[in-house]
Parts: sequence; C-alpha cells; structure tokens
Amino acid sequence: MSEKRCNLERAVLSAERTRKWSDDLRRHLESCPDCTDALMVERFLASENTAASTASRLPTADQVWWRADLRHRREMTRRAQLPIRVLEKAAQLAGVAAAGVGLAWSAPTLLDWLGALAPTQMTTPDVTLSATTALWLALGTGVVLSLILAGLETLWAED
Amino acid sequence: MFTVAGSALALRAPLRRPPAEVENDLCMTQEEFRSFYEQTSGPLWRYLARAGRSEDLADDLLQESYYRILRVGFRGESEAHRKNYLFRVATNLLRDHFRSPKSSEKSLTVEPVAEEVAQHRVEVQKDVGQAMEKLKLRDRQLLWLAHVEGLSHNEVAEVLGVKAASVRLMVFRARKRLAELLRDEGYVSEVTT
Repeated sequence: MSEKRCNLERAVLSAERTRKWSDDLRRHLESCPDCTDALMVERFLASENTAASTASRLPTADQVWWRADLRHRREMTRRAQLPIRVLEKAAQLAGVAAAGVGLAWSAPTLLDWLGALAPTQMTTPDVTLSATTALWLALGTGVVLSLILAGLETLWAED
Repeated sequence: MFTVAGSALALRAPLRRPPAEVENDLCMTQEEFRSFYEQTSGPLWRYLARAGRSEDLADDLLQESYYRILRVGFRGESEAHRKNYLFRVATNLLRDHFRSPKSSEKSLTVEPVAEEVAQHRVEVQKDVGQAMEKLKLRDRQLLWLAHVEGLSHNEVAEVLGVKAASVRLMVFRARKRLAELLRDEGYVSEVTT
C-alpha cells in the first residue's frame, strides 16, 4: 500500500463538497487512485450521514436537561448521605463485634450456669468438657461473626 | 513568561466554573444548554450511531455525553472548541463501551416507525453491515470526524486523543481500507464527477 498522499487530495474533496469541478481535477481523478478512493469514501460517508439524519430520533433538549438534572440531584443526595451511611455501617459493625466478643467472653460462665440448672440425676459436665465446649462455642461465634462481617462488607460495597 | 505559560495552558485545559458551583448545580443554564444542544445533538447522534453501529447505543451515549459535559462544566473558548470536547467525551464513551466485556456486537435496530423510514433503515443497515461493519472502531471514528464533520487533523487528534502527526497517516490507511471494502461491494461504479 502506497502511503504517499497525493497533493491534490484536498482540492478533490473541496471540489466534491462545493460541487465545483475543474477539468484539470477531473482529468487528475482518472489517473489518481488515492484521490479516487478519497472521493469514493467522501461520497459514501456523505450518504451515510444523510441516511443517519433520516433515521435519527433525538430527544428534545429539555428532555436531556431534565434527565441530567434529575441524575445530578440524585448523585448530590447520595453524596450528602454518604457520611450518615458510613456511620450507620460502623455502628452496625461495632454492635456485632461487641456482641460476639461478649458472647465468647461469657461462654464458660454461661455453660457452668446451664450445667447447674440441669437435673441432679444427669451427669454434670466436668470442667474439661465445659472448657472444650466453650472453645468450640467461641470458634463458632468467630465463624458466624466473620460471615456477618463479610455480608456487611458486601452490602457496603454495593452501596 | 508567566503569561505565555498561562495562555498555552488555556488552549488545552477546559474552562470550568469554580468547584463550589460545580458541586451544587449543572454547569450550564438551561437556555445555554438548549442552544448548545440544538447545534450539536444531530451531528453527535449520527457520529455515535454510525461509529458505534447501533442506534440504541447512540441514544444512551448521547444522554451520557451531555450529562458529563453538564457535570464537568466545560465551557471552552468557542462553540467549535466545546463541540470538539463533546465529541471527545462521546469518543471515550464509545471506546469504553466496546472495551467492556459486557458489550456485545450490537447491530442496528429497526424501531416500529413509518414504513418508508423503516425501509430506509434496512438499506442503511445493509450498507453499514457490509462496509462500515468491517472497519475497526478507530477507523470509523477517524473517517467520520475527518470526512463528515470536516475536522482538521489537529482537531481529530484532539478528539481521539492521539498524536496530531499520526492522524494524517491513520486517515489515509482507514480510507484505503474502506475504499477496498466498498469496491468489493461494487460501490466504485457510483464514483463519477
């Protein structure tokens, strides 16, 4: 492919746009493949432009303005509410974390208390068993807490 | 020296309103926008529809382009400058759309309209499908801006975000490719002066 441009290309395009063709340009066009291509593309795209003009279905300026204004207001509201949403999420996280820590901390005492309530004929869980259960309970609480945090994180990310 | 640097900057940087206003309002009055829209919406829609090969996509990106202009508050030094900036925004939106993994090869859609218009659209689809369809997005953009919008190479470079020096060659190559495709369709016979 030759990449040397013909010097008359601009003149050819100008003649096509103004519909003023000189004999020299006509003669040149017959012998210049680059200018022939330029003219063909120019005409094809002009016909495309005309076709697109017929097909266009533009909304009015007021419709576009109204949609843009509405969207802008929504974004401004959203931006204004961001600190509140952040605080809400932080409070939720703090509440869940405090509940989890409290539960894990009091698990052994709670199990002892539950053991004391059991009927006397039943075997009272010994200290080793209570400690193991407390450990599992703490681990379970940790897993549940992690799941809750992951869920909140997802919600936050969606916001 | 300071003045020269300031002037040079003003040629390239968008002119904006102060940030405080930008945060609270759209950056153009409704009257200003109406005037700007009347001048630019037709060419912009046609550019988007032909370069993006979808009228539905053109509808969406038209709205988005104006929204961004209104939000950013680009004022420009002249109407032409502002129009070029609008086309640059639209060009970037088109590029992002086709880069997005969600975007599929969309074809022109025919809406239920008057029969002759529908028929015309079918013909347009055929043309676009056969020639423009085979061109790359960048080639379609280049040719549309250079031939239909009549932008200079510098302006095309500004809109497309490429080096001005390379635009000339890019247009030349894109034109060759389209001409070849058109010749394959027999379009060459229509070129007479």
